[in-house]
Amino acid sequence: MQIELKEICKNYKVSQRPEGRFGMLKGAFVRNTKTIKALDNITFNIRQGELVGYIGPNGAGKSTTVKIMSGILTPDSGSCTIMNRIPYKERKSHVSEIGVVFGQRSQLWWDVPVNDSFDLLKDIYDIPTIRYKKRFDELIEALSISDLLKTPVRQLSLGQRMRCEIASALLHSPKILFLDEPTIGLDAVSKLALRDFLKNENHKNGVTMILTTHDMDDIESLCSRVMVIGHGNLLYDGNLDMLKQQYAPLCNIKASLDKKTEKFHIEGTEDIKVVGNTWNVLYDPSKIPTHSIVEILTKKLPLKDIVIEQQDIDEIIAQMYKEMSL
Amino acid sequence: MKSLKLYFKYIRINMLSGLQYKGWWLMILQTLIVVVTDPIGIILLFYRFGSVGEWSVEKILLIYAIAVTSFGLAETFSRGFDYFPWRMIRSGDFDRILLRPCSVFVQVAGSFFHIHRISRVFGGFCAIIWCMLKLDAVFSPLNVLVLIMALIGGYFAYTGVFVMTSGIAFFTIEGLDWIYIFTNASYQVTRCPIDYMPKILRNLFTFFMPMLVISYYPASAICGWGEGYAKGLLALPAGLAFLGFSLYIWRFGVRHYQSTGS
Repeated sequence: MQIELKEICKNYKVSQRPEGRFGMLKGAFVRNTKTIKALDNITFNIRQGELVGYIGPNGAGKSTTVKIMSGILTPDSGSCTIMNRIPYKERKSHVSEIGVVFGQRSQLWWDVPVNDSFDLLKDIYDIPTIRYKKRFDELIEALSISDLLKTPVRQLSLGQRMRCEIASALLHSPKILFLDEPTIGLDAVSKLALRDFLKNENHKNGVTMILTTHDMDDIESLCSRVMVIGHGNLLYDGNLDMLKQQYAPLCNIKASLDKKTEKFHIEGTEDIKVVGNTWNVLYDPSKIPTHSIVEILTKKLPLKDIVIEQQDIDEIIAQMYKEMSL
Repeated sequence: MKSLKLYFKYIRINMLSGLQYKGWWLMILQTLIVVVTDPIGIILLFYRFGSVGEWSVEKILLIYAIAVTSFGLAETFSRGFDYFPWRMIRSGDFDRILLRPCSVFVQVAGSFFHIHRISRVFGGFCAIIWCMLKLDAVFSPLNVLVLIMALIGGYFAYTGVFVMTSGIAFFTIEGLDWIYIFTNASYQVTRCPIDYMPKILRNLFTFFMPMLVISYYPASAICGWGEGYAKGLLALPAGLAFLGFSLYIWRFGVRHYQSTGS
């Protein structure tokens, strides 16, 4: 296993202002601290070359986990071993083999051209010139950023900057890449391009990627494995289809009709809702095949159009969070 | 060695950043004016009332100039630590530093560099030379050595102050204005003749933060005011000791770092 986390716990102390009229004044002298469990017994393993989506609502502990894995934070208890090293103990050798992209924070130097930042990173990571040159050309081409290299970072658009960020995180050919909301704020074209690039990088170089995001399309198009975290607990670990089946087993057939028709029961379906001239038939595809419902509907109803919908992944996740009362 | 090379690379990139903005030369001018006008208060005072006891304006100014120059050096080359608590811990940028496979100390020290800080060094150094000429000090090799040692020691001591501030900031995050006693205010203290300084301040700035060790004693040794060369040469070890102590606090802070934000 490349990444092994075992019973990781991490608590934060948060200070709170005392209640009442003089709370603010009191707060300057007395602090009420509250302990918040950011992570509570997190255990998982990740193999080399896996592409894992790590999701959960805001404040669930995603970033904390990533920070522990990247050696920024020390866990209160539990063990974390990555490539046979303990990240927070062997910081330097650990970070030279990982790459981290924070969607909200820049790795690059704000005021100087991208090229200068890359140059400095070459020295920081101590990359041999020949290897650097090769890797550099590779990334420039794959991310099509050759035109941006002479522009100061502050003058780049978000999408352009993100591409440069990704390049800068991969210059030293890390074996593991942590991506914290890499597609936040990007337009559709940039998002698609970025996903393609990540997929390719994973495929070609076998880079293990751990991706935290709120964009379910990222997960759907990239990740074979999903981990869901909430209130510091790992709630789900498995592939995306299983997750869907577990939380949204039902499909929906939306049939628009020429005229209003009285509702009747169809054997094997879960529920039928009629809104005006539209029927919504909810069913479980593992119990009754889609085509047999469609057959019944075409026979018995004056059909105008028929659409088969799967529940939206965002809705599934929202529902799942709700069910787990997150 | 690699660290030193990296440090200068950092400085270079920060210098380039500074030059990206027009008006950097205005900043140099501005700092220079501050440095030149700063001691005008004492100079005027002394011209009005002559000297205080055996303390002439040149004597006071020499001690002051040595302190200012070393402060300027620290500001120029370790300014990153001074900005560190406010800019890096609060914004969570410190995460990024921990993600790079090189010395945290080097990265923080090199994280800010303002070319205009050099003007303080320049102004201070000119004042030192002027005062020494006025006081008929001998530019013997030993004296020059003492002076250089004093400046290097002072540089270490002030870097120590910045480092200590940063270390403490890991726990307090902000609200560290009192530390200014040891930074911007500490070289003001040297304007007060040492004989008239309250005992407590004198001890504080000798044995805790070696302010007087890096300014008064070397000046006294050079100009022969009664303190020996042994004391004058103490500046370097004293500065190093203070920096060492600060580094200890800093390391302790780094271990207790709690990142902010997501």
